[in-house]
Amino acid sequence: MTTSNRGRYLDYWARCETGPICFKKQFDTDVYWKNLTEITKKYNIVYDPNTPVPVDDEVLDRLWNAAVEFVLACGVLCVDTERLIKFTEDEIIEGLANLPTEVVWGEDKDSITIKHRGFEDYDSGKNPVFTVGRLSGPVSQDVYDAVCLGYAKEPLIDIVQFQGAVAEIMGVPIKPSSPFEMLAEMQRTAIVKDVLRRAGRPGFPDQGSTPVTLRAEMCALMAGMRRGDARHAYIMPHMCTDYDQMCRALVWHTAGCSVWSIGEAFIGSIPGGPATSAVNCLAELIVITLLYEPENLGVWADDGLYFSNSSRQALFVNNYAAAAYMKHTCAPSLWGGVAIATAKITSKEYFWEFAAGAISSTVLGLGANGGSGAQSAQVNHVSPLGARFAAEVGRAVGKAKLTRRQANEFLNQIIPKYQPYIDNRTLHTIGGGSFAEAYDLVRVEPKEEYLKIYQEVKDELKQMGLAI
Amino acid sequence: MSKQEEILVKLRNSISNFDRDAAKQTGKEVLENNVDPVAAIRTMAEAINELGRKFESQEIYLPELVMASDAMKSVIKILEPQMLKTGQKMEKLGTVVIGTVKGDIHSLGKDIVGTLLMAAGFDVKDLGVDVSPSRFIEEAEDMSADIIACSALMSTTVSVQKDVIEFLKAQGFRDTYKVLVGGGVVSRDYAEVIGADGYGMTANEAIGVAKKLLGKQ
Repeated sequence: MTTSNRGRYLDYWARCETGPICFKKQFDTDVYWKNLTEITKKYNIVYDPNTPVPVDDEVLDRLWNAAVEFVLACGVLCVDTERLIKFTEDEIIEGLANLPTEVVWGEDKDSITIKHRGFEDYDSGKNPVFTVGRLSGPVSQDVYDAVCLGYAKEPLIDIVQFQGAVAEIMGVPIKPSSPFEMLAEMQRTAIVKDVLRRAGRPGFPDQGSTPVTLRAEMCALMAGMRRGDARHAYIMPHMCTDYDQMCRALVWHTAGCSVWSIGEAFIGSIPGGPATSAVNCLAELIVITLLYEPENLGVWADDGLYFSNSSRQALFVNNYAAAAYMKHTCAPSLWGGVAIATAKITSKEYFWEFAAGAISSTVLGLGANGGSGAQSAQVNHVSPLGARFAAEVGRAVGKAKLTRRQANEFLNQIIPKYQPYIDNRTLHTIGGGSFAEAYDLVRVEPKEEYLKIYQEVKDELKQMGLAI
Repeated sequence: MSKQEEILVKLRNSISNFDRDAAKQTGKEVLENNVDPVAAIRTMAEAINELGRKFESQEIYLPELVMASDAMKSVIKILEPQMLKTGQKMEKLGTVVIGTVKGDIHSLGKDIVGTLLMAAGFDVKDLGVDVSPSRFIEEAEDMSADIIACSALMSTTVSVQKDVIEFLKAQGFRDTYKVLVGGGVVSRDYAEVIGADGYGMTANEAIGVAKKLLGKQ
């Protein structure tokens, strides 16, 4: 890590007390929406459903200019003080120019160094740049250890969001701000660290942000959290923040740990359609960088009316926003593509969703994701095999040295395999059992019948021409 | 086209174009030209319903629906005194208090459902996020509400939906209000287990359920 702007975020945070007053409703309609629609139109940003992976760099330049202008016009609303944090153009340009060019996640021999990577660059390290194991949503106590161990055992995963949430501790519901939430976080951290030791990866990075409150999250420090781990600080939907998020960035940076964050867009709701959502998502990446300077940053666009991270629209927003950010900064690679699947883990659709994400991410020089299914909403729909699959797809993309045009050809064959079920809002019902049915809980290995589904998708990818 | 019809068309257009200033101006013209306020409100409700459909098909987006709802509310404010004088009443499907439960600050799903309920013709009070079970009940009492709608996104906050129902039972109000639940990890099964009256997987489903609960569908 070479340089950093972190000291400057204190100045930006202080603007919560001095910036122009702006009430939330006025912000949402008169400031946010008005500027977003006008600027998107001005720069002629349009949704191109047939090109989910950007191939035209001039489009990315226009998207970048639109997002910068939007940040300047809109600012970020601090909802606690109802004042705007405004930035100057110099602050944006100089801040981004002074970003670290590489970051380290994890510790000692389990650490990984993430550097900047260009599009279609397959010779500057492994492909994909990294793979995130997603472990989010409700997980039951009886399989918790096995689920975590399953992820820790996967050699192709570089970092895990160990974010499974149990519902109770000692039979008591875990409510935010209660001592039980603190106890649950201590228990979660202890299990994760024990599992990682057993897997021989004690310094492996954990980016699980499970509790709601910061004080519960901080309990991880008393239960074995390490400096190589990361916790979140968000921009709230959309272009909003509060003191709690700033406290999170302050705590984790001061503790010497990492901060992770996401540029979001809930397409179809507040940020409008895919074009305006892409501008929003990129703008959020920029302001997150200025306000929190996370070491671990990604994109997270979803369909706002049916929670799906893998739809054609969501892929468009994620891919264009992340690509424009990478093209115009020297930042270490973001994670992109599909973070969570909509289908249940025991379905072919689940693997297809991650295939679309991993192809997009790898060709754009981003990190890939895999693991969580069923919208992170159904109990135990988490699968280390999904993360392994995403990494394998990324490796195959790297070996084939796919161009962005070829990546689009693959995506245009893959997306139709699950998009109809997003359109009729049934994708979350597709598939069978959860982790307990998919995995042998004694050996913590996927069962034969589950491997068969995974293999079928790999075989079909081969038939499409990807040598996986 | 008569002057009155002209004004109603203008009113409809102002709502369809999310134009609060034009709507307010036209609201004044409704009064000045003795246009039936109930017909004016019905016209606006039709325009809002159409926008609700357009929202679902992504022809318009949430900020626009919010602006249109605000425009309609501002006209109703202008027409209300006249309606009170003449003893006319607004047609509404029912009254809903809506919020995200205690401990949970996710507002998007709640905002969408609240706005669509309003567009469908419900009187809606949005309590915001991090709302305690007691506050849901107090506000429902104050508003003489028909429905309490509780949103929860997280596995650690869904149990507060159950608390709302238990608090209602403890206060002897369980039969006074219908309880509608929804949110990321909430399922139909869970809604049944906790004894909720209705569950919506999507915002549109929630609107249909709310209507059904009040026998309006």
